[in-house]
Amino acid sequence: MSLSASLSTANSSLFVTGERTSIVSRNIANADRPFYSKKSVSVVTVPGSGVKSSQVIRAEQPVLFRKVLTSSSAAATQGARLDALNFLNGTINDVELGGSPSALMNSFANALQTLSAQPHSKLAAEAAVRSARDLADGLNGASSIIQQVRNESETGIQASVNRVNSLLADFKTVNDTIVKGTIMGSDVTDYLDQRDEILANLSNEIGVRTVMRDNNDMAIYTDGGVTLFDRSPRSVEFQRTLNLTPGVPGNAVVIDGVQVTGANATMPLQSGRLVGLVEARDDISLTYQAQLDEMARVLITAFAESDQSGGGGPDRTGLFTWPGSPAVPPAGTLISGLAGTIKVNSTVDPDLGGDAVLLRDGGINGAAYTYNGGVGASFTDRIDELIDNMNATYAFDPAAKLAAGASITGFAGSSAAWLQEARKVADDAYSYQSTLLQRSYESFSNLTGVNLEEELALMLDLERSFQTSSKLVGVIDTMFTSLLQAIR
Amino acid sequence: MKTTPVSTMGLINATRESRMNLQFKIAEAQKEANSGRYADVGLSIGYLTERTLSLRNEMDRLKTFKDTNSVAASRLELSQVQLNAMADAAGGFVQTLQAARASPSSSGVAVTDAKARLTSLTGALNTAVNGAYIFSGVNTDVKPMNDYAGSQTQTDVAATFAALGPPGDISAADMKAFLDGPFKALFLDDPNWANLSSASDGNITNRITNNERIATSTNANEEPFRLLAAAYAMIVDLPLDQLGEGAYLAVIDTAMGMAGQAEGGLTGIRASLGTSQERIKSANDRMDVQLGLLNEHIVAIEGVDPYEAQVKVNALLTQLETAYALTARLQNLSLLKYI
Repeated sequence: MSLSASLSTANSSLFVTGERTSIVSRNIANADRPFYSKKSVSVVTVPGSGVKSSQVIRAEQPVLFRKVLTSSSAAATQGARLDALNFLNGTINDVELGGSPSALMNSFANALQTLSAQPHSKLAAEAAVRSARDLADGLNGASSIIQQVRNESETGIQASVNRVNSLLADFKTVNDTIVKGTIMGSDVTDYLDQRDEILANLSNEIGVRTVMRDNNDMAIYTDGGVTLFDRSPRSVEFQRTLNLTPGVPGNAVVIDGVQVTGANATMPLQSGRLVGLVEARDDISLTYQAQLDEMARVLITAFAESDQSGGGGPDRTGLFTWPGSPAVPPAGTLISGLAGTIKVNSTVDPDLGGDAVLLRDGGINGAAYTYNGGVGASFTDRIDELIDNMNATYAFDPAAKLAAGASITGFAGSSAAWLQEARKVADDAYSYQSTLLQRSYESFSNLTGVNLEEELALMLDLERSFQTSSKLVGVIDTMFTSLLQAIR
Repeated sequence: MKTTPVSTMGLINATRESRMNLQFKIAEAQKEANSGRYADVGLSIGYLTERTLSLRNEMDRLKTFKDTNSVAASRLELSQVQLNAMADAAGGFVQTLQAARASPSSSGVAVTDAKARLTSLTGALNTAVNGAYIFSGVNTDVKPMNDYAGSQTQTDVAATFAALGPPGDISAADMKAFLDGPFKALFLDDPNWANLSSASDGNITNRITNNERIATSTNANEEPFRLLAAAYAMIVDLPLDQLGEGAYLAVIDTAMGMAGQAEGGLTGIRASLGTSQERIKSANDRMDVQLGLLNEHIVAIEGVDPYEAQVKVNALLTQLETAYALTARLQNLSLLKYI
């Protein structure tokens, strides 16, 4: 009979309203979660007997989400690169401060000039040697900063790889639940949100592409094409080196048995923090190290002494020494790590008991290498030769990626310019990519996120509907009562 | 009806990000307004760093040159003063000799005068600045002149003179031959002069600009000093009062000739040192101009317009205030307040 039909319709309305209220409260509770998407219930009319809720619907924007993933990977790459470059900038800082290798080299050249004006002055000679030591220390310091950047990048790579592995493990759990839930027809929308969040975190470390399959199953590939997840997570492997050797690239990252970083990578990664870190470790740092090493090598060569006795002895290292002393390093060839080992010869260093005057007279390698053949205290020929040597043009190894022929001070200046230009480019790229990320996340969030006012309005609506339905039940009850009374 | 949705999260994030951006920009603009340079010079100018580094290096180098030039300039100046005094002394000596020539009886005055002048010549040649002897050539750590009195030269003079026989019997011609021959050789021949002088023949050279190298000293081995020393020694050591008139006049005339020649020679040395001084001065003037230009270039690359930076700070502050106000308004804008 129609009165009981009305009752059941009013009942169904009450039931559906309750369910929708629970969704509204779910939305409100999760309004501040970054990857929570707005849920709603689709309500269908059941002919003749009111309404029923069919399923929970999730606001989805797959295209925008993919955009968020790619821009987050790209921003992470640039971010890691910029971090490393900013760290390396510690070797230069503000050009005004004069701490750059270029400025140190110049102040050493100036100290030599001062010495050449007062060649008799032991103090001037000692000042020049100390200035040389500042330069050697500066190169050592810069070299150790590079080493630090490399070791930190190495640690970062390890952390990133660990994170990818643990995210993939989480991904499996969530993905399995989704597939099972979808087959059983239960509400998996919250799990889908979780899966998106994991993907977003993953794309921060590594650029990914996803493929959707039956039953909401998802497979993940890297942007280079290597499988990361297909029903089960693939292993991401990396062998960390505790202290990297200068001039030698670190170990490569291997995913599913395929090398994805380094020069020999068959399917290289394109973006993600991992790419930025590997670049900082192997590309940026190694180039900068090569530049410093070349500076050190040319310095050693420029200050080498040649045999003055006519005995035809080989050239020997003078003011600056290296582990291979007294042999002079071969011309035009990079010696990795030289910037970290260049030292001022202790025979000349007044603070180590040496005689700074040898800088003026020569003879660091014994009497046969003495330039000042008893001429006197104001002998300037050797100092002038050294000044000329500093201004001369040398051949540099192409690994330094700078002009092949330059004076040593010019080369040091180009090196600083190289670093600053790289920083500028990375900074521009980073701010572009992170703005892109912000914008795409913003539009993604606007379309899929929760608007509290909207939920509030919906709640008012539901409240009215609930009140009316309740009233209806009351009225039907009264009608039944009066009917039953009439029958009695 | 199509509406443009906005999520609460998006709204909050947008205002938060804009606030953060603005704050960062304000910090930067403030630094720029204070220093007049970019907040992060390297980041702002990129590869131009090479240019500003080389400009800065060039500037430091020029400053060093100016410092070192002042060392050379002060040495030259002092040399000039001493040379001037020596030339004056030589002129004064000639006058004394002229008086002595007129009245042989007053030759004692000339002897005393010559002794004093010889000592002061030795003293002047031994002038040291800052621990370096200025007339030593490159041998600046060694005192260039030994005292004539008691030197090997004095002994040699006495020995060669004794070979001429008794002073009273020496003819004018013999005396002239002796003075121009053996006596002069004691001062002008290098091995003999080494008894008196330890100076080096090599003069100190200085780089006064990147590619200019000039001599910035003279040395005690130059001929005028030798002639002057010979002229003084002649009067000091030869027994003038015992000589015959002819020989006496020969000594006085030779001494006058040598002193006069020395005076001329000193002027030549002074002129050449003067050229060096002039070159240093013009190099310094050039470098002053260059320093100014370099500084302008550096400012052009690294600098920001301080007014512009100040205006930027003000604009950003206004913007940030607006952002704060907006955030506060958004906070109040909630449906909750109306139900």
